[in-house]
Amino acid sequence: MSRYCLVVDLDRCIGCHACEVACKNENGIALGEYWNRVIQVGPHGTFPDLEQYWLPVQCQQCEDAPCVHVCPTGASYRDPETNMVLVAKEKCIGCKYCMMACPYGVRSWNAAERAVEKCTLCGQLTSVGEQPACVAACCSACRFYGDLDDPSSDVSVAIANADASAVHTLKDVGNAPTARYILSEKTAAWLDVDEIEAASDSADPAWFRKEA
Amino acid sequence: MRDKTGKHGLLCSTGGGGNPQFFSPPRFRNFWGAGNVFEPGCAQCYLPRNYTMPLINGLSDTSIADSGCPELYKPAKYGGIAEVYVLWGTGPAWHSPSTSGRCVAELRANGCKTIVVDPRFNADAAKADVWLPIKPGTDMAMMLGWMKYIIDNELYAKIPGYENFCEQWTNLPFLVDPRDEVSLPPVAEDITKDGQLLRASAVFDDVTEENEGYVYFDTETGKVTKAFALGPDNDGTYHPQLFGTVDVTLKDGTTITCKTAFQAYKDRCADFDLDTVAEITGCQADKIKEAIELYCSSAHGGISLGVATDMYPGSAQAAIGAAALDCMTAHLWHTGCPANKVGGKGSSGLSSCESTIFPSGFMGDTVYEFQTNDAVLERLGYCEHKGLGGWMHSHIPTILSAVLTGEPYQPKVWIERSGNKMAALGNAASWVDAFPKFDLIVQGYMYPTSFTTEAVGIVFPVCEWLESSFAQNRLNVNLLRQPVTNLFEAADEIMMWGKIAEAMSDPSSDLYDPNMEACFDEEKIGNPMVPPYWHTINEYWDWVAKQCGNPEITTMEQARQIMPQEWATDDEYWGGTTYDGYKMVNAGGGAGGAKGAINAGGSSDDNTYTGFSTCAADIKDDPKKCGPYADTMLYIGRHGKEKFEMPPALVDYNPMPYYFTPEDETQYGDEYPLTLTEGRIPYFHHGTLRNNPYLRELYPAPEIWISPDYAEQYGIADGDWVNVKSPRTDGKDVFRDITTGVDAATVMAADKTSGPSEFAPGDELTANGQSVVSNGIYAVARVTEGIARDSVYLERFWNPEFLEDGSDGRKSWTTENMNVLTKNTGFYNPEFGTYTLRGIRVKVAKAERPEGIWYEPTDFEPWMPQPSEFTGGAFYES
Repeated sequence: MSRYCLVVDLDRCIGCHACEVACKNENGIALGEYWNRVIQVGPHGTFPDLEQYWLPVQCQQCEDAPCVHVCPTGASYRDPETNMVLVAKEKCIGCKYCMMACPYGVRSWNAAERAVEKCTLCGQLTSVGEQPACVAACCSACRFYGDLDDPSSDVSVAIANADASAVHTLKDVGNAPTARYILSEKTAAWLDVDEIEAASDSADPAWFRKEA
Repeated sequence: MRDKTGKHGLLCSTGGGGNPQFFSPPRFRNFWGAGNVFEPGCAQCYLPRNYTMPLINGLSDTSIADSGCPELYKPAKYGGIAEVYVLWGTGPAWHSPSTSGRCVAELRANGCKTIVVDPRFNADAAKADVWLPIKPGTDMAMMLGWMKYIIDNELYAKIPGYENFCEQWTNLPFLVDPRDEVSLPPVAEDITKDGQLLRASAVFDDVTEENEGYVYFDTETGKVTKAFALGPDNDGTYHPQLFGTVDVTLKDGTTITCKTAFQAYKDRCADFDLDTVAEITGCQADKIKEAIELYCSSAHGGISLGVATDMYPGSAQAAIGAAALDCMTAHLWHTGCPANKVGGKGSSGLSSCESTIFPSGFMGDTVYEFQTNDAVLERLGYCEHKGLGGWMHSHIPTILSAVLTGEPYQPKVWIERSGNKMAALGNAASWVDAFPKFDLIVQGYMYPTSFTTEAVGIVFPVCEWLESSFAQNRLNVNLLRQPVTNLFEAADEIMMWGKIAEAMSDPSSDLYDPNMEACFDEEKIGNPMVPPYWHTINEYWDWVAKQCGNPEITTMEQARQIMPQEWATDDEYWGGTTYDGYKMVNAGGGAGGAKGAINAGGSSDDNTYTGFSTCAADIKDDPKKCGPYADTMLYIGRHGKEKFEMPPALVDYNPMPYYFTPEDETQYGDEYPLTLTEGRIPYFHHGTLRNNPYLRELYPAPEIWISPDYAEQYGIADGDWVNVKSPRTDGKDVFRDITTGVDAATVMAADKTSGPSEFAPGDELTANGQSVVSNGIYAVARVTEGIARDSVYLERFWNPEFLEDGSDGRKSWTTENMNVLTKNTGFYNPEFGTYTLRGIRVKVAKAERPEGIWYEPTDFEPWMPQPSEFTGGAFYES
């Protein structure tokens, strides 16, 4: 079985937001709607000994995805061929149960089409051998795409090259997120989702607390 | 204008983002024959480092944003990557994420230690081994503190592997002439008065102007000796005294006591112990010490100095300081050094490409004399600020003063080739009263801006970057920006200049000007580095194609098929790089071949090592040392760097860095308690892109970073709107008459009283204009620990939404534009005329969101792209 996902090396991420804009350009996402956001975490500590990192967040491709469980129409589904969690917009009735069920707030309401959307891992690109737009545009080469069950994939190699103590997932509440983050102690202490305060960037919405 | 005021009535300008051909304005002005050129950057952005640092380190500037610092991009597999890297006032992660941001991320991943000197806790600071949150405007104090620690602890002689570099390869042992007391800037009249290095012709009978040289004291022979270049035949014979004084008997029989240049440095930084520096800069003494020791732990690295220090009147001093530190500590020309000569030769037969079009006189003279020496000399403020000659620019405040007073002459026609001057010029409101003084203001840009609505009579719509063509090499690859289809009726900016010239090139026309005819004549120009103008865009594109470095490419059509190309393989480029070439005979080194490349390093012959060339123009026996003691800058201030002798500047170009308290702090510090800095964010470039909906939704309004303790004091919470004011918005610091002339006797008043001049300004000129911004500006508070104490960071901004139909266009630059706070008054940097964009003082107060701005993501919907048909234009035919 495949476990396609993104892995982000936060030791390298420089918070440039290029992945955010590339995602919107590639997928034609409306103003005010996002499939991928970069959250600034910090600074924490006592001046001038501070820590800070940037956390790009999109669909975590959960192995036991709550969004799929709660969807009353099958619009949120697991693709039988790729094992990816996807959305069939034509089946979506706009009940937003999935948005409430997602522990990470990474589902986006398409106001124009009155349907829920989210990161598709850029299937239109990866199916023809290209990288997802966010990976291709990443300025610091910190984003990787691939199958965690394939040891030769970019994601597996990135994790294998990292110290085990530096590999994290967003908080797992039984949903088993597949996406991985690499953050070593030298850069900053890893904070779980519920430890992250509303984004200190005043222009960012508090992503994790976004209301459905 | 030509008949009414003479040719010098022309003013050209650029800058602020959006000009693919940087030299177009001085190129047109030079062809025309007289007048002035400026850009808001230049003296405030890159020129001070670009001009000064190679004269100190003999290699290159170390701006990773501009010169590129190619050594830092070396793949780890070639070994010898940087071991310690100081990012001083530069933030690659956010100023160029995809290039230098990536480069520094790779360095960190490969184990390079980094030190970040920056008021902001930016992305590079967050990943640094040491962050020094420096108070804006105090960089020279920090540099002098580093120097004192390095001298006191003899770290200059403890750099692993390069313990004798300072002694053997710098000009620090050379003797200083005590008879030469330099004139000092009015902001720093209590500093040491050490002047030019002693000339050998004053000491030795057999030394004349023909073989002029410097002098040192040899500790082995016990004699004062003329400095010489090291080579295979004299290796080991140079034993100079580094510190102290030496009694020197001159050839006229008198005896003088000379310091060594290093002793002069020791005296200059004597007061800057760690505790004092900590007090001035706001950094902790133990952190400063940690940074210095890390910096000195390896010679494989160095300092990249960013734009921060270019943005206040200590611009040249910081550039000298950073380059001098690298000289003192041997951070030059080794593996891993930003100051380097990188790139081996390729075997492809291709040369590195470059399609920048240079002005006449920049890379050699033209056969036809387009401009006289007098026309060069009368550039406004040039005589006083000779560093501006590096880019053939003039002094912005002197131009403004001339526009407002008509003295020494009246600029009448302004051709502005960039975006929003109101967002880019310091104390922007001081220009409001200047616009009506012109007969005509023309703007060439991609879309209307605040400047368009405020000042412009004629607009030339010019192409977007991607619609223009440009060939340039990066590392070992020749690249070509291929022009995409024009989206609407716009022309490449090169055609704007060319068509103006073309209209005056016909002898039968009333507009005829012989210079304008000559600038289409390749034979008359007679310099391959200065191509004539082109009549059609296709002719120009074919010229660009011919600059691609491949002799087989002669048309753009071919170039589109063939480019990009490697002119050397990775192995040839990186593996062929010569390091430590200064101690080799005929080392050469560096990619070279690129038009415009500065010839760095010294010349060589079989008898001497390549060394470094930094000596003043009157030194004929080049000792080939790097020059942390900036004798060359001092010489330029007194003689210029033109093909003719220029009158001296009133204030000497001091050979060592010095610190002075920012004027706003001394004059207005009590009422305006916070020191302001700026700095890049990843969303925008210069004044551009505030009309890009996907970027504005991410960053809809300027942030002001403020520390929690100050936020609490002012009752400001994260996300609150705040009002920001400075002495400029409040009418307390108004631009004054600083008129200068072309005659040295009247330009600067020697006694500083018979003004008006920079040092004795006359009447207030712009109180009316500055009253336009009396309400201050607005920003969103970001309460964060990540900002230097007693300081705030504020992003520059403007609001294109106020240019939409029915809006008040003036609000586009008066509502959120940090540059109405900044300062174009008071003390200007002697070398470059830099005014004050950072280290100004402001006060903040909680406020409401200003009316009319777009802030919510869907507000920007009108700017989402819409398809359109091709509408022609662009001079494809003629």
